[in-house]
Amino acid sequence: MQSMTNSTDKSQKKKTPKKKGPIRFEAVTPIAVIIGLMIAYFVLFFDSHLRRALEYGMTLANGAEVNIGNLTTSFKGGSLDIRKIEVTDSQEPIKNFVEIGQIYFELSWDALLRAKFVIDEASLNGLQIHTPRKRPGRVIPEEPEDPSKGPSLADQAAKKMFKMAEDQFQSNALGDLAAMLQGQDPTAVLKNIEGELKASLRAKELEQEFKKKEKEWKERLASLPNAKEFEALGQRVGKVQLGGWKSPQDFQNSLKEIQTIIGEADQKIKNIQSTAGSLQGDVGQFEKSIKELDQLAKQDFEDLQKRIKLPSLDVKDLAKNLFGKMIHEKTSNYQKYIEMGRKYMPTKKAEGEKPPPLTPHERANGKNYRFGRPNSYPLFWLKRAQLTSKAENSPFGGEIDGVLKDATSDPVSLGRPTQITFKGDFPGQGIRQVNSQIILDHTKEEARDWFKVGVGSFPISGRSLVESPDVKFGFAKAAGATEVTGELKGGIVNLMSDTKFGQINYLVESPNRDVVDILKGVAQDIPLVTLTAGVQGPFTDLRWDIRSNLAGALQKAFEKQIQAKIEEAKKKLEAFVKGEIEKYRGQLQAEFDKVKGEIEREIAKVKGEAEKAKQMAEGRVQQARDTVGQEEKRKVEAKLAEERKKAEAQTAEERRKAEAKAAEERKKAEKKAQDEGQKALDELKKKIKF
Amino acid sequence: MTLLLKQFFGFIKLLNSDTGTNQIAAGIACGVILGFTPVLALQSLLVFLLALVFRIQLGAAFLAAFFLKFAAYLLDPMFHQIGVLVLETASLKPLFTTLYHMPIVPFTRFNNTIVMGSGVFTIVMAPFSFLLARFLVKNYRIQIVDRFQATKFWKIVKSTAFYKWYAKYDELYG
Repeated sequence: MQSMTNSTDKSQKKKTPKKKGPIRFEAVTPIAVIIGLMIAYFVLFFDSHLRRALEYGMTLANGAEVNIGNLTTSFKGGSLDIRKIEVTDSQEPIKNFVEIGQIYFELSWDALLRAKFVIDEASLNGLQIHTPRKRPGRVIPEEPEDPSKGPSLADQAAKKMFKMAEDQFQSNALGDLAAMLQGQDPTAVLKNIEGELKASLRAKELEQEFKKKEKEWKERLASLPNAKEFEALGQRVGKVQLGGWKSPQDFQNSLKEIQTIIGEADQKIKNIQSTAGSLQGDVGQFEKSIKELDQLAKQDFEDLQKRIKLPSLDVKDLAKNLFGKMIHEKTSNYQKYIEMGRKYMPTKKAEGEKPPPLTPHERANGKNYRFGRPNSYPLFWLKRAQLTSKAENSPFGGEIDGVLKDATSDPVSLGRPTQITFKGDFPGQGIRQVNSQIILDHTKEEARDWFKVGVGSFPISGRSLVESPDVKFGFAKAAGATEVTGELKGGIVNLMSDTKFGQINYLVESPNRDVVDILKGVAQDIPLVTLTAGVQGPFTDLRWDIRSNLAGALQKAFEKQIQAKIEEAKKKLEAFVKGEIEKYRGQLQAEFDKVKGEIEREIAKVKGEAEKAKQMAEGRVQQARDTVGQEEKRKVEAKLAEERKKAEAQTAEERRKAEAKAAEERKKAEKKAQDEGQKALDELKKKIKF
Repeated sequence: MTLLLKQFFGFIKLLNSDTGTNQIAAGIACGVILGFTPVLALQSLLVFLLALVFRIQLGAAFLAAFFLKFAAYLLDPMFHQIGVLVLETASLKPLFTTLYHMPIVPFTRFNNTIVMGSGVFTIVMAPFSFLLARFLVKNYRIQIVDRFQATKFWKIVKSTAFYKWYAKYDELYG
């Protein structure tokens, strides 16, 4: 019984759940497990994953495979140690553009706690260039540009400019000269391109167009008012009654009729003027099109010069053709790095300049505000990096000593430009006295990138300046020395390079003995080749100036032999173009002139008739007005005379009446005076009793 | 995965019981914060730890976070606008400047418009979402659970051997 009671108590005890507090103490184990797993991840896998992520990102940025041999991070020290970084050369994937033995740096924990990456001191060791790869590096193919996400208009224009320059330097002037010297007549191919000229094609088009236009013009001319219409107007004017009106209403009617006729004539004149104006404009436009054939002919001439490879003996052109491609290859590579630098090192925004409005689409996007203040950490700041490298008997190694200072993602708030200076030699590759100074000043509104790179000596091997079936010319072996100074400020490039090639072993090959002799002669006279190149202007409109003593020497050597042939070929070419155009143009011009004359005459005739009819109507109006004026005058004068007579008669009658009245008054007064006198006399008589 | 499933089943069980209303409501309120704010921010981790340490229904938090993540895509433009409004308030600039340069705080990514916007929105909404969730849970229990348990179908299910076995198993092993 006792045991039963105990078991019931136990089950009741079991059923009553234990009251749990607000804190979940049982979660300690899962949290500990999670933290343990995280630590395990960082210890075992993080370095490997970071290495792969860096490889992926750097490959995308470089456009060719980047490999990292080993990467080690230290949480405690905040350090990163990267070893054997191989950057594939995208132009030559079997080689590395650069290989770095080790990069080591320690991140400042003070900055890391503020989500910033600040490196007080970094070191870069074991720098080698153009090392061979174990296997060719993967090159990322250029993606077709998406117009909605593609590069800016400026970038597109710059790319276009580089493409134009590339095309410009593709020509092979020396090869063409050699071919001509061999006796080839470049104009021989002209017969195959008859009828392909832009000017002659346009002339043909104009001929067809003219036939349509001629019909149209004639139709428009026919729609103009003709002589009969104006004669009819004249007759109507003649029939209008001028004078002898019985009432003012008659006069008004005549005047109204004439004014209606004048209105009609005016309308017709306006119609003629408008039609004639548009017709003459159209004719003028067509005449302009015919004149434009001259421009097209000029263009055809220039195009044909290129097409038949008519060489130029201009020194500047020769220098461009010889060295342009080589210089262009070097300079076009810079643009990619300039754009990259500007993206990650933004300049100060000009006042009033606001970033484009941002509409977030994906989760966690948005806009990040920066609340900078003086002396605060930027997001990334590499204070100083020591570049040291020893050749250590490696054929690709370099003896380098350099410093990189203040590389930052926010140069504006840091207020310091990035500076890179290094000196070095690559003895294994024969590159000596490399001296470089680079300043990337993005601290102000207008970025200024400046650099000066000098190489005391570098080897050249198998560098073809000209390569064609007719001639191969270049440096089989030479030693070069160069100094390049460049500046990019406000989108304007200013690049100057001064290069000298000495100890030259020229490469001269040609099936033509004369060409070989000329080129060997030039080679003997020019033991030191100087090359001065300048590139100036915005990326969209770069001006190239390339000068070389080699070009001058080649020009002189070829001039005697070939100048006459070139001039002769030019004349032939000019005559060919002229002849092709004249086939169509002469007839077209004659027909056009004839039609134009007809149109102008017809318009003048119609205009004259219209003016004549209008003048006639206006004359009749004046006549009517004059007639009306004379009759009115006569009537008024008659009325005035009658009125005057009436007034005179009335005046005479009134005068007569006044005189009669005055006479009567006078008589009355005289009688009264006489009576009063008599009366006074009688009274006097009575008084004196006479 | 087992842990997650256990949490979901725990949530369903608790939802259909008479207890734990506040735990579920708090879980949903945490889920609102976790769902609307971007994952890669320190405050998300903080909320997750709070949910883990305090007796908040994790299944409810995870479920709410999961479904609200989809709604967050639609609300991002609004969060962005709120974020811009807050971050561009001139009087708060000194505070933000100080926070921006303090240790640890930058990991909250408060300077991002969406993080700030969604953070402000969810913090303001947290008490309301807690109260709303509690109201809904209570009503659910009255309107649906009680009525369902009164049905003949449920009574039949409860009388089956399988249910009795399950009830015993649940009582013994939870």
